Amino acid sequence: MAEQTQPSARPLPRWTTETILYAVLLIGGIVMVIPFIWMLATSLKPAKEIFLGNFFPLAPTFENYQIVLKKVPFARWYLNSLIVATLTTLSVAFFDSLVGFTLAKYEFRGKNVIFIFILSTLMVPTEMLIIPWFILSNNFHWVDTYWGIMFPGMMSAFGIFLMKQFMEGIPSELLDAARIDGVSEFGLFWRIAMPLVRPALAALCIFTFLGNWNAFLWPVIITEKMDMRTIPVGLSFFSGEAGASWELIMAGAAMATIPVLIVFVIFQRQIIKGIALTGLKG
Amino acid sequence: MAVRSRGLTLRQRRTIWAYVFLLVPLLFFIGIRVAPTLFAMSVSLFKWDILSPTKPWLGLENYQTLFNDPVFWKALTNTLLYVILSVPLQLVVGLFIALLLQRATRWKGFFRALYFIPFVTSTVAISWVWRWMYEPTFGPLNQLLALLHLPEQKFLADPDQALFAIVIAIVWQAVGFYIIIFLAGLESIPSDFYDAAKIDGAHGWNLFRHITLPLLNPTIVFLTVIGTITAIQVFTQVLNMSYQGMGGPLNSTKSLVLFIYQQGFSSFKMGYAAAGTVVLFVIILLITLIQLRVTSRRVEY
Amino acid sequence: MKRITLLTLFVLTLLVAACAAPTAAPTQAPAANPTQAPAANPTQAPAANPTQAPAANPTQAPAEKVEIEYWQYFYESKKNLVDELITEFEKQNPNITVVQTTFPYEQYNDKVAASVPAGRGPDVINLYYGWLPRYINSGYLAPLPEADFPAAEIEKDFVPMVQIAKVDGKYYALPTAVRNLAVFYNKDLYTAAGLDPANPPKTFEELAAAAQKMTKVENGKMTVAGWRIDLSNQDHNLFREILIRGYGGTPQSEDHKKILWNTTPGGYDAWQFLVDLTTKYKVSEPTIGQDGPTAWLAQQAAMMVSGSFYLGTAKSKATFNYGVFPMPAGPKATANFGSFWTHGITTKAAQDPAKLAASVKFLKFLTSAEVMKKWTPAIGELPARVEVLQDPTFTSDPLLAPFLKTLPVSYATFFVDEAADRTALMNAYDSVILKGADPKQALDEAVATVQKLFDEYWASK
Repeated sequence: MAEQTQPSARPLPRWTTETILYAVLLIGGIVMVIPFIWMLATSLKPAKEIFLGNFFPLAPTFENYQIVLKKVPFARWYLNSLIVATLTTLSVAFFDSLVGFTLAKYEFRGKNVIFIFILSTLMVPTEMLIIPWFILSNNFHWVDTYWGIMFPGMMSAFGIFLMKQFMEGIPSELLDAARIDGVSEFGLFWRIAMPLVRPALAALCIFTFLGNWNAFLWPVIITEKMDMRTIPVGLSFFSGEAGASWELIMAGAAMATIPVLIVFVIFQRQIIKGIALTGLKG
Repeated sequence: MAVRSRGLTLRQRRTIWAYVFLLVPLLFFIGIRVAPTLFAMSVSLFKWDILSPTKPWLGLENYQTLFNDPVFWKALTNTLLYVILSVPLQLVVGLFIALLLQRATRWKGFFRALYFIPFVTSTVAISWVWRWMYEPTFGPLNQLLALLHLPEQKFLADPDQALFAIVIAIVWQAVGFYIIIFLAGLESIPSDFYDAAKIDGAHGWNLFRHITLPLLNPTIVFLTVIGTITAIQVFTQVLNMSYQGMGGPLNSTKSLVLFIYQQGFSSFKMGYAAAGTVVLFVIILLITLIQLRVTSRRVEY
Repeated sequence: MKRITLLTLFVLTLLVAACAAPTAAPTQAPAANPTQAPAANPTQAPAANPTQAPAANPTQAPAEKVEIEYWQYFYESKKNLVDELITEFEKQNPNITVVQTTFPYEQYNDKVAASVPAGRGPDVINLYYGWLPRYINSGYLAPLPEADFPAAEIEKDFVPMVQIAKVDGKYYALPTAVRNLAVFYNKDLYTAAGLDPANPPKTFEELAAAAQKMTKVENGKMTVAGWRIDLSNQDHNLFREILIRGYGGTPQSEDHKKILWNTTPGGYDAWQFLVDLTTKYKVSEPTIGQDGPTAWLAQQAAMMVSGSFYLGTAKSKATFNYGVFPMPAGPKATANFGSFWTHGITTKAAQDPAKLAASVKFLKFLTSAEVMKKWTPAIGELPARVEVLQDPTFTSDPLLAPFLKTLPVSYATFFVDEAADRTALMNAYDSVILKGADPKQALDEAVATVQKLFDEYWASK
């Protein structure tokens, strides 16, 4: 950015801009990562060290991890979170893209109304939907089932909006050309449009997975059996009337963060690759 | 198929397909989101304590009470502050870092992961860390201020600062999200646009102003609208970071959703909470419609 | 691509299956149907069939198996003990199965509330006494059968504070254990300040003086609070029941209809003392620690008021020598705040005679002297029966004795909305400390706020 602000001036030597670029990124990165490192550091502290205010553990220990793994069915919670987040992400990726595609690339009556209608579902805090959802779930016997945890998030207006914005960037001529080649309407979506919006799709998958991985309030209400809890719900069991066991929460949170980081590292490459794979360039 | 559709124009056929694609999602949204919302909103006309099987009719009384409730107005002002402070900050910082990241050729994945870490981490866990960062007696931020010979602050314990302190933590956590979307947006700009502009002699700021920014428009629209909708519903961070956990001190950090939640699930005034929800909904809807109208104007060049 | 298509198909199938399921399922939910999640808890499967139609057998033969559900919030030692107790109970009553379900502490109230409109919930439930008025008022709890729990006997055998669960002459809940408050103190800081930790303060005046000695100020900034006042934790209770009564007043009218904080004799004085601790004696600052318990554990506060339930946390987290001393005396009287989590039987259970009978049995068991003797050492809460209270193993325990000492003068506050009541006091205190408001005026405002809640409650009855 440094040179961008002075367009007419003599451009700075390349190594200078490079250095500034990486220096800024690194400083920003440190600011971003410090609280996270603190979290990891806390997870390695014995319970008695938590309130001493020291940043790094004086006597680092993996005891907290052992306690979390031993005391509670953490592995099971992990599996539950994984199942719920994965299935929801698949569903959202498919349906949200389809709806986004339809809203972006078709002309039909009520299009805008439908879009605002869908978007308006984001405008009510989910806290207020808990009671009707729970009544529904109880009537249909969804309490303590994966479907019960997942159903409110199987499609999201957020993703539809995102995909619509990106689908709009696809040239209509491309689709028309494909139609002439005999590609079906679903094929247009699946084989032409989807690969073109890969960066956005990857972002959507990351966010949806993450949102469901960290979802808390609804899973608290819909699950009753210990074996059906998800990780965030499970972690709240370490917080109680006489304060919270932060060292255990941090250990659990650290273990919960790692798979998401892996998912992120995998998907973020898709964000870069996106366009290179398509024919847009020519 | 071919025979039957012969009677339809091409356009009609596409319209049918559009409705087919939308069928299942619309059923989903009507059944899972809209119907429960209507239920939740209709409660605003009743007095309902959740536990009672009966709901006495109140008409608009809940709304009257709401508009005369100073805490509601305080929460509403706070909420607007959250939006006004956090959304532009997230947009600017997010775009700035996304541009830097896009230019960086080395350690791309590493830097991206770095900036994304806050967004990945559990809000509850990270809120606790932030409370320690802001700890007035020996928290690192005050130690830093002392080191720089600046006056130490009370942060979350000060009604005049607490909201800003929470905004910083919110921006810190959300910026990864903005970066990712901006990156996706930047990557979707075909590079031949840049090549052509460069041939015309544009570079640096001009390139950004006339190529990048206009072509990022759909992304910016999306982030502005979604960012606002999210910020208006700020809840978890306030619950977990505010002094005494109730949106204090002196309601200075209480957001509208926290207010609604407390009325509904702590005071069991579900009808009253529903009235707050309806007001919140109307506000968000209006803001969103205005934003869409203003920002979605197609840029021609 | 093929894989993705398959996955998509799978998701679609799932959606269709899930959407189709409801039409097949009956809409009236038979309360706690254990067949819902067969994968989740396979051990329940055998019990599922017999409970399906308990009402079908009109004779109600005692041989018939009954399953009842018990809900409480999650507290590790409580959950584990109740699991043990259930095993014991089931051995005594082979026809009754008890299923315990626990929920995170902070979301417990939300969860219970959200279940009510859905008609879901347990047969026996553990609730905070302060929530009772609402749950009773709405008809969620059934009165305890007088034949099994005679009021006269409860009043004779249990500590007086349990009477707060009596509404219109009927008891709706009974606890296993109760708690009250005491002062947790850091013995190391006591010694360092030249005080004798073996001779702790006996009156609030002495307490304030001791706190002053232990308060440390560096460069004009307090680093250690002698006594951290935190109204979001226990100090709102300190004001209502301990200080007001200590200064010669009563916090509420006899019929729980009027808030008397600012009209009772000594009310303003009690409030002034609480405020003075920060403004005059300067032994506390809201910036010390994040809250009372955190400040105390971090040795940023020498003393705090907390409950016996905090003993476990203190044991596992404190890095210093600490002790507990009994609630000091006010100028006019000694009083303490008492509270309890209590077991009630839901109306839902009461509609089914077999379940009601089983629930009554379980409740009798939970509130028996034998259970209390196990409860107190395992949990740290005090036994609710007077006879067990006098057990020498408890009265001689150095950490329990300070609590037991003031148990006879412990009062449970009648709440209509505990959180709002607390918030009103918190805001009154903050407006004085942070904004320099007039203490009397701030208290008057808090009274007005809470009185309004009480008026609404009584009007709705």
